[in-house]
Amino acid sequence: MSIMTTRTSVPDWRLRQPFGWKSVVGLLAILFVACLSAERVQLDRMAIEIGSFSLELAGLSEGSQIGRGVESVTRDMFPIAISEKRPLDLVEDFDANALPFWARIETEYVETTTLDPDTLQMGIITEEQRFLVQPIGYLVFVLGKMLETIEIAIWASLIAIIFSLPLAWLGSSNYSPHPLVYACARGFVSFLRSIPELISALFLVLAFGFGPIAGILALTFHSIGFLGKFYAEDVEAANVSPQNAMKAAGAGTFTILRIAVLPQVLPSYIGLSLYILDRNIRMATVIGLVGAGGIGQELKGRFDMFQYDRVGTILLVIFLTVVALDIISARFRKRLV
Amino acid sequence: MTEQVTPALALSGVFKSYETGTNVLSNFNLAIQPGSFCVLLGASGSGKSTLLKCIAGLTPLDAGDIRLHGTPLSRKRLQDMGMVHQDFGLSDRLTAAQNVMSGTAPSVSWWRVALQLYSRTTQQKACALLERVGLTEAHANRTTDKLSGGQKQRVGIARALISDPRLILADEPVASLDPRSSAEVMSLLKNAANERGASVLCSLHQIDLARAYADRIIGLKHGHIVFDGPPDALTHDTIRSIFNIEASAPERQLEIA
Repeated sequence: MSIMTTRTSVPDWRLRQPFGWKSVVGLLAILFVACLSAERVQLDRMAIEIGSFSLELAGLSEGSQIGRGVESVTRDMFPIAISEKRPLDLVEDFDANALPFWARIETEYVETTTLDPDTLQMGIITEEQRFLVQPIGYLVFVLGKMLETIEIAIWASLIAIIFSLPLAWLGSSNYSPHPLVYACARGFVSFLRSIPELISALFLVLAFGFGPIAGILALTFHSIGFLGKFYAEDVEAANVSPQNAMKAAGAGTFTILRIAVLPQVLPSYIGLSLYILDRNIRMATVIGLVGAGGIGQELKGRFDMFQYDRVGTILLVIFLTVVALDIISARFRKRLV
Repeated sequence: MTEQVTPALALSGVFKSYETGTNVLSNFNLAIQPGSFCVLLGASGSGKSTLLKCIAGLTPLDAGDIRLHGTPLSRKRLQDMGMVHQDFGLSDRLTAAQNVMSGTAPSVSWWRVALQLYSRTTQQKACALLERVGLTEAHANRTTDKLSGGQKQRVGIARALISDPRLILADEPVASLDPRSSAEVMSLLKNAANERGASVLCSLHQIDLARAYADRIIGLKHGHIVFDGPPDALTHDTIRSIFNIEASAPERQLEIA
């Protein structure tokens, strides 16, 4: 008898197939639901309008709704507003001897048609009106608002980092002093994470008024919700070997966390904190829309006044800032992590 | 005999079981004489690690009494003990010197721990210890993830020694090291302990190392002591019974086991 005899009978095993009829039925069900939903959210109209816009771009059609919309905005947006020109009587605390940097006064003669009170007839009056002109005034103003936005984001991130560290300790299952404390810390953090910044900012503006305070608080709350969760999960996932070694040496919780946990989680903490800073800068521009300070507040104001040239300046500044921050934070991350 | 001397470590009536229901230790008794080098020899799952964990306070006892030089164990007393770990237990992103000094952290004020700012004396002591275990100034300032396994365990030994312990526990200190580093680390552990008059309780599964370094070998099987005596008294039959090796196994295999 040879050991190498080939068996002619095949074992009647059943191998698991990559998919079966259940998967196919499931897929069809998903498709059906997707079709219903697509109609509800007007995906069909979207396709039609994008199609007609593409035809217009290709020169095959006279006009489209998107084309007209885009044109009406872009027509007013360019050239963007760089300078600032204001009537002198609207400038507060104007002092002709101490003009703002790089500014000049222009005099214009404005003809206005008014009713002459004596003759009761319409007459043309030429008025001399003086303006304060700052050639890059508006750009500087917008840059100042952008700086304020970045400051809001940095403060929000800093405060969030400081408050998240103890929450990470209380909310990590292996170091929390009590299961109840753990549940409370995790619940609090989840609660903060569940409120979008824009919505909390809406209410904080009611409480603190327009301005950066509401913005800082709104961003802080959400950031704590994010960092508190991920910091705590890092603590839980840290390698236990050095922690046991410190425990065996008789160390208390603080010493173990400082020596055996913090050095391990630090790179991840820096990465998370940089991400939250990055995100806060982008979000800070948005929450200004509800009046929480910074460049978004300016954007909303100009948009509502149909001053699209100024909106253009603001959008350009935001775009350039975000690109610059991306580059900076990528370099920073490479060096630190 | 040495009955009058207070043992460096005395365990009496120790019980320990895990949630899975296995009784690892039941009514375990052991006394270690001061200055001796005892090796716990046994296969995986024989209870060596659990025993050391119980002594080190890493896992609570179900019942029993552990005394260190006659006084019951407490967290404060853990500082009289140094421990060397199988997986080194070093904080990889701290330097070797910081790891060594961390051995004093439990008895140092919190702000020194927070800032990793140890006193001049501690720093000098760490340098002396690192030199004693055969490392250089360059090693001392390197983070431990950049050290080799043998070097890591040397740092581990230095850390165990910095609190001037009278008892050193070693849980499979050479399990992840090659034979040459193993021998170096074992003789370092033995000599360093001898110089300081400290007793050592070391778990091992390598019979040759146990024979070479132990003053006393304690054979463990299923949480019970099946052999207790000097290395010379360790016969092939006892080894077979400790490691559950069939009687027909060739003798050469027993030496490596």
